[in-house]
Amino acid sequence: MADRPNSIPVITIGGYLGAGKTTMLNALLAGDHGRRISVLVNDFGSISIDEKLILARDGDVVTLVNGCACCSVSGDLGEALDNIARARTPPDYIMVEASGVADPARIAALARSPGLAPRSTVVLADCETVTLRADDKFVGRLVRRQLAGADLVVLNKIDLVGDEQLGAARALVAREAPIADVVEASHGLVAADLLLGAVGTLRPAFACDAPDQDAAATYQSHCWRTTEAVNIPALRDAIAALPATVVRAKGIVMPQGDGPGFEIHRVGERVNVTPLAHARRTAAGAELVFIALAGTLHRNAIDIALNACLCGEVRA
Amino acid sequence: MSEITVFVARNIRTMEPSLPEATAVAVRDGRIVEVGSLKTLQPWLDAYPHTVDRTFEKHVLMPGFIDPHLHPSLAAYLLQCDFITAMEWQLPHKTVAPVRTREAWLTRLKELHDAESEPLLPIFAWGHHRNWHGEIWRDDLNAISRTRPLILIHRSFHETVMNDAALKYFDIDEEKMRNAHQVNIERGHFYEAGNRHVRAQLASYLLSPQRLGPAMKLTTDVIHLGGHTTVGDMAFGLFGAELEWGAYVAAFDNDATPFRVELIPTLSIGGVGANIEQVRKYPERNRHRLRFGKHVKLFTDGAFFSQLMQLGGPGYIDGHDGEWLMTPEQFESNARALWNEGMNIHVHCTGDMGVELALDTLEKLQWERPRFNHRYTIEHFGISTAAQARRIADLGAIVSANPYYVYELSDIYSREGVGFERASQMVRLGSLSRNGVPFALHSDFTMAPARPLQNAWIAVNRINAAGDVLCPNERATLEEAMRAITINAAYVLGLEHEIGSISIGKKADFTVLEADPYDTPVEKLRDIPIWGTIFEGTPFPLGRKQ
Repeated sequence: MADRPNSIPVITIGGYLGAGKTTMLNALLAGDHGRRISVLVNDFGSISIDEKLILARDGDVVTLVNGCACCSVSGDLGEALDNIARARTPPDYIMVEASGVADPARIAALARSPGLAPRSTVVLADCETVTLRADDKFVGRLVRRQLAGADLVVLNKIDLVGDEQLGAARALVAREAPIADVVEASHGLVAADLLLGAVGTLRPAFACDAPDQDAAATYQSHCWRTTEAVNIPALRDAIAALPATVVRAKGIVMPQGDGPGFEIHRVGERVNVTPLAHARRTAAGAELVFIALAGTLHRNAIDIALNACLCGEVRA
Repeated sequence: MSEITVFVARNIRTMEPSLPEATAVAVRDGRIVEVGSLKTLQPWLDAYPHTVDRTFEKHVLMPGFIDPHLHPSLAAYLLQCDFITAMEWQLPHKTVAPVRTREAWLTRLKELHDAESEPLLPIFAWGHHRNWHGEIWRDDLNAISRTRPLILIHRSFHETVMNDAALKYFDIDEEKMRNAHQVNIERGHFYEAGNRHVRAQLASYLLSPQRLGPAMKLTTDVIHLGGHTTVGDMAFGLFGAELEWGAYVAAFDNDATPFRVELIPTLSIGGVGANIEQVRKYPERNRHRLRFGKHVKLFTDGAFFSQLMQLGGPGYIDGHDGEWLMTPEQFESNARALWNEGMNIHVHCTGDMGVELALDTLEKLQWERPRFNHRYTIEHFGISTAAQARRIADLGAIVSANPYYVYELSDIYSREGVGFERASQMVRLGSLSRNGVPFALHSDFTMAPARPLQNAWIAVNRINAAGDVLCPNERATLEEAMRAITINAAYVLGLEHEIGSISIGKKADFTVLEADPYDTPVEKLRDIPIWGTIFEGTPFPLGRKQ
């Protein structure tokens, strides 16, 4: 959904116990990323912030010198979110640490509230244990559902596993979260911009150079790429007009000259075009990936619809 | 030392197998001196001054009923609402007849509105359920009144509907609510996550100091009406430990209260509840009627009324998933900490996977550090398997069950979500009996009416609200059901040496009945009138005849 003006983007951080959520948030809070992030955690116990970085402590809130804050939520999470939305100097971003047993998608729903805008759901998975957990009799369904609800999966602790285990974890994520982006990390170190959703990634399996999926896959992908200038409003309309079986589309469009680049997302039937936060000097053109339910992907139809959006093709 | 009082009764059902029936019980200073007959008590009567009280000559005495799982704070919140529900509720101030259509629901609310003379006093109506009452929204409430705040609270507490006046009264900003998730402001409807926009306002109104006192008085009356002389608050601190402790001391710590409350704290989950140091120190606060022991409550899976219990394969028919209230790892580490302290652990388990986690954990703890007489208790016991009933026995665990699930939910769950095999076998007391597992019954009011005789009636009959008999093989016997609301309920609370049966030296707590449950057809068990109670030797008649 498009962020409403002045709404604070909310990023939900999920993942099962031990996946590395707290470690990642610790690094983010202390990081030098120039953004004011408020992090909501279940309890301070596990957050360890370098005393040198702390500006003030006030009950449930620790304020840091870099403008970030960490709030411990003991009561109603929704109320805590609303309080931040109403604050005199609201942060640039809010990150919510979901409990290990929460379905992060449900937590993210709390952010659909005045003054807030859900941005994305990030789910961490511990490469060492995630495949076992996904088969566990108590939490297997929960762990798989968490992955399925992710926009971005952080496959964490890759330094602790061999190729075989990493391969198994990658395969699990590809199966359970076929339309999520995936980033691999160790010690929960992920670029802040990536977590904040300012920069998109294309997961390898769906990047343009990835091999096509096998026939048994649930989803199939198609890549459309051009080096010509693209009419962005026309492109947006064309993507919006694709059939509902196209469950996800994303990509980047770069104009000619010095103008800003754009990121295009389609989730379900909603299309969202947002300027890229950082000017990236790349050649003009576009690269878009389309993901559709297996057996419903009409590559030719997509190509025809999109080729009509090239500046040379669009009639006034 | 006071004078002895001898209560003579038509029959005294002691719940002690060695002397199951008696006709006289001698009481002094709140305790039983001896039970038997006037003849067998004679040596005491010869030795000490006494009076013989024949008030109950035509009545039957039982040990004071015990509900080992009833939250007084939650009751105080709910009892300020008018009950308009699909089931009958017998409350101290009224008996509420069931209401099972949309028209009847709205008519009842209109009657309440017309009867209330103060024109702007809010009315809270609890108990709406779409399966019975259809859709009722803001305009339907407006049609009853545009000036009086009317607040509909769903049976599950997860949904609220308000009329114009209520939105104004609670200062809800309608423009802002237009974009809010799980709020439909045109319908005045706040549900699931959206319910948070009104929850705090409702709680600060219903639990305000000037309302809490009268609400606790109603709670006292509800507990008394069921014939209870002891209840267990099986999760002390739901609305905050100090708020509750203050309210309980003000309401219960006096000689006018006809019962005691055993307080069972929960171990902290995400900042709510006590840490183990607080659990150790709580008994230092003990008062005569308010007592902490060495019992602690833990949770595994989600709410039974919301179908959030964890079910094993093949899961729910509609494919949704239950919830864990903490990770199995957190549950295990909390349980281990309590186990190694010698605490008695009570585990909220609603689905069979919740039970499975509780039992897997118990098995590990027994392997690491064996304990006898640990009273590890499965609370609620909604859905389980026959194999688990046997395993509960093997591991020495016990059960405190809510049989009302069978009455209110078996019909609808057999058609939606759960299916007939599991729904008909919920709360499998027969399996527990066949495996020799002691069990108690509880209400978890308002998950069930606080009426032990009704719960016993469900346990022995397994008749549901639709009038069907569900799985007769999972019935309890009459003797088991009566033990489940007396001596076995005491056993669950670790108080079987003090209460739960009528025997020498125990507390003189009795429930006075107008008929003998053992001479009453089992299908009439719930209809036995209660005269009142005797708490520590003092009679407390019910305020009104039933």
